[in-house]
Amino acid sequence: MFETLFKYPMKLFEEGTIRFSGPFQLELRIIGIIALALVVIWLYRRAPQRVKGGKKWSLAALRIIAVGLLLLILFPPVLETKETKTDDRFVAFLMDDSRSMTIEDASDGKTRLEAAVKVLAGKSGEGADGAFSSVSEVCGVRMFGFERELARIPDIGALKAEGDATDLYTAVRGVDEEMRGVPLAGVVLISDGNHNGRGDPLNAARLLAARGVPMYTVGLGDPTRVADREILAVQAPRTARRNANVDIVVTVSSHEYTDEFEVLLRKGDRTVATRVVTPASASDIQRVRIPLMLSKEGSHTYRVEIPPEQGEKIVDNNARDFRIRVKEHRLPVLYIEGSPRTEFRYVRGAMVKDKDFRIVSILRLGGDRYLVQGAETDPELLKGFPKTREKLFAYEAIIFGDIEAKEFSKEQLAMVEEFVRKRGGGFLMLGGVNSFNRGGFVGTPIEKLLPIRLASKSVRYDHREFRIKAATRGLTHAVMRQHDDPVTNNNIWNTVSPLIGRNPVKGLKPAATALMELLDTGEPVLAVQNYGSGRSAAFTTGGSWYWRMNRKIEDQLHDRFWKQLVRWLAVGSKPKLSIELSRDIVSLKEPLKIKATVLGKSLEPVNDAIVTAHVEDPFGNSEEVSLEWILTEDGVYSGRVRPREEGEFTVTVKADTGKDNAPLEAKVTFTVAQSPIEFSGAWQNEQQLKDLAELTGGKYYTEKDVANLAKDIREHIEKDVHRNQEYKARDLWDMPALFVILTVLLSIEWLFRRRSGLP
Amino acid sequence: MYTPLENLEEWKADALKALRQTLDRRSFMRQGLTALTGAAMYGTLLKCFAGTHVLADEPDVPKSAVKTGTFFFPRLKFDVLNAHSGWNVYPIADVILRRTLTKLTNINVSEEPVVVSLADMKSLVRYPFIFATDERRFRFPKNEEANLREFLLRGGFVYGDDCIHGRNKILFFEDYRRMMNRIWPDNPMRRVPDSHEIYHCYFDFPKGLPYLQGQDIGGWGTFDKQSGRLLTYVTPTDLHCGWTCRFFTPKLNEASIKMGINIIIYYLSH
Repeated sequence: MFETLFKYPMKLFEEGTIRFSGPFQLELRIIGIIALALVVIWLYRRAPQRVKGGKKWSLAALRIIAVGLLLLILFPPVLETKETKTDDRFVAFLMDDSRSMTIEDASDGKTRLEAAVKVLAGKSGEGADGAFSSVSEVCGVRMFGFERELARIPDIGALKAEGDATDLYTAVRGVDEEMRGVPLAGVVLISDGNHNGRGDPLNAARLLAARGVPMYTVGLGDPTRVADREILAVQAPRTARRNANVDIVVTVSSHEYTDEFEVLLRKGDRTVATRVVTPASASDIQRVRIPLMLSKEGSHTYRVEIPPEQGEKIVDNNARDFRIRVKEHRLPVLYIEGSPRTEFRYVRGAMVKDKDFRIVSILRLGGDRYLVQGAETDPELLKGFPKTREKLFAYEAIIFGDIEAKEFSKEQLAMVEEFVRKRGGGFLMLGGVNSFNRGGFVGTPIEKLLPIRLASKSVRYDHREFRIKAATRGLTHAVMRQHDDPVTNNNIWNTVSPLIGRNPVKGLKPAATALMELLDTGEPVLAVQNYGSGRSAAFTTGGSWYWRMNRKIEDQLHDRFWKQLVRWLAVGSKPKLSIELSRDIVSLKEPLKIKATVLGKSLEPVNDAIVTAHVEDPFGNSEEVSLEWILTEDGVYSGRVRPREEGEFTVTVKADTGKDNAPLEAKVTFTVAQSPIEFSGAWQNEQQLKDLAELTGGKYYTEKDVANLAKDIREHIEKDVHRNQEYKARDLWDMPALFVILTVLLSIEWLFRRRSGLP
Repeated sequence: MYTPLENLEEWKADALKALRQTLDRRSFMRQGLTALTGAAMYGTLLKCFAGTHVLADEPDVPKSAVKTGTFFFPRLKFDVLNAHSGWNVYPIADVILRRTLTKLTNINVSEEPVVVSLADMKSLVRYPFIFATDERRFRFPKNEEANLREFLLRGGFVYGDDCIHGRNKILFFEDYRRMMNRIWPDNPMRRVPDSHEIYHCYFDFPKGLPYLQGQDIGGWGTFDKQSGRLLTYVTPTDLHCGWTCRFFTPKLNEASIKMGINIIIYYLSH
């Protein structure tokens, strides 16, 4: 009955307070009522005199009460009660959906994903005794899956553990944003804690902590490091020339396995090289150097792997893929020599036999007469060294034989310096009676290029024989590799026949590296350095031909040395359009950066080209990406693509540099494949999960004690009840009792008026 | 300022006396003869190079050529069959060729006479260019033939010239060819075509090898199968006797020296 009349139960009226909620202030309301009362009184004072005073004022009082009540209804009145929120609060479940969840190191030999399902859905898998249903009894729940990105999932069945990364930062940050407008009671993170994304998860957790949202972390997987062998890293050049020798440096770790093991370099099903590693301790990390000869052009994918040990739990980290692009065009080399000499014959001969080189030689025969070989039809070369950038920059390496600086103009010497610094070409000066200090190069741009400090001009060419040794850093250098085995390589250089004649030098420049030294004094004989975008070398002898003549025909030391040296020098040379990808093997949905460098006719950077990249997926679908000029780098354009399929992608970059120039086009390929990073250091990162929980005021659980999760969340909500109370206002203007009273008052007043003869 | 001599007659008598004391009749005759011989040789050399443009076009001679490296012109010492060996015939030819090389090219030529043997591989490899000549039949021992093959494959170069037995017998040339064909049976010696670089790389020989005596069958060579480079070159026309400037016309002498220079330039540039 009470509730019928007063709309709400009596208890609410006992606990709550009645207030007015309209826009008017209390004073205004009182003034309004008084003003209305005065108006009513004034009206009744003007009433006819036949109505007696007592009756008149009774009528006025009735009218004032009725109108006052009406005003009260209009203000309007509300019943305000203090209430605790419970069922409208939410808990977000963050489920790790990365590939590391497939590791079988959870309890009872289950995979981590199976353990996660068990935690959520309970032993039966039907959900009755799982954390998810337990928590959902206390409050609302939302479920998210995460790997590289965060996504809402409908149920546990949506988890596939196929993600190529575990990005806890993105996950926590994402849930904070997704649940920004929702009362969040807590976040439950179920993961192995192996964050391999970019940001720091603790920074993201601080945002939750600031909102007073605790993180309950459930750690899956074995937190102790299991016996495991792993490929930690592979270092390999991304591009190389055909027939180049390159080093693949593999970092391997071995934990709790003390027996020696093999590291295999494979290409498809074929094993290219094998190295045996002997762990020095029970937990050891070693670097293995595997030399590789690249004989075929094109893009090649190699795999480095350690055959799994019997019972090894984590085997997905035993292999890594890498890719090398082998350039197919012939390396153009320009070699200028001061006069016919034996060294010229043998240096040129080492490269002319090899189809990977296109050697153009200018041999000065005296006066203005030159013998040009390799480009006999070029009339400009018959007059000597090229005079224009366009001609000179067509080469990728320049060799100065025994020739003096006077042979060149100042502009030509400056061009050579620019050739190395800007174009990325290689420069080599050979020893001789007219080169280095004897050639008058002191004070010229060439002196800046050279990796050695020149002696004064008065120091003569030493015609005597001398013995050399490989410098410490030279032993492992690509130029000096004569044998895959470093010890054998060292022996080869230590027993190599003497050289004949050399230019004494003052010493090395600070950034240079000596590869070959005089046996007795340690003076550099062969030195190299990076210079700008390119490389330079100084070989201070003119008698290396003796290596060829003094070794058996099967021994290719001389030819191999020269080819390796020139290949190494020219490694930085840039074509007119070059493409650089941030990675050659990427994971699905991983952003890939495409950088293109556009050069003009004289290989000057072009900043106003229109550059587009066509990215074709394995199914032939093409996506066009516009590459924009990077303001900070001349001639460099950049764009991003996010591959959505697995397989081989082709990137074709086209650059339009203006009407006068032909459009440029270049192609590269990349592979979208599963990344091994998920299995690197894949034991449970317990500390990470504990830190997240501690920072936000939550708690860390294992599979064993996760049953307490729902209880803890409930306790947290209840403990936090004062923070979760809210005032609720209920309208009273439509309370039936008010209408009844108003009707009764107005009816009585009307009856009195009628009986008093008033209208 | 000019000061006239007052005792001129006395000064003349003293000078004559001093001259008689230093130069007696015998020594005068000896020195005079030496001077005449020198003048005659110089004249002959001059004749050698007195302008002939028939067999080869002469390039511009560099006036101040910059010279680098050191080129040696060693002779190969070997035995011939049933006769005295003539490997060392006319060493003056080498001297003249070396001097002319120095004069006409910017090659830094060593004046040092060098003799090498195929039996001594150690010293052989120090001289990648070898000159061999004789007029008789020869056959190297097996180990020397093996050394020769190895020497050539390592990048060495042998130039052989037949000294010509009689007027036209090319015994050395024939044995040289036979030997090379034995070393490389699948790559026999072939006649070097007239258009080959060896005839044009410095002086121009439009008609190929100049003929002095022997057989006019051109120069023959073994070509590297891979690069096409000449591994060895042999001539049946007694070129080196032309270098001596003693036996042929000045025109032929000059042509032989120029051809010798071409062979060396070809070797140094290929």
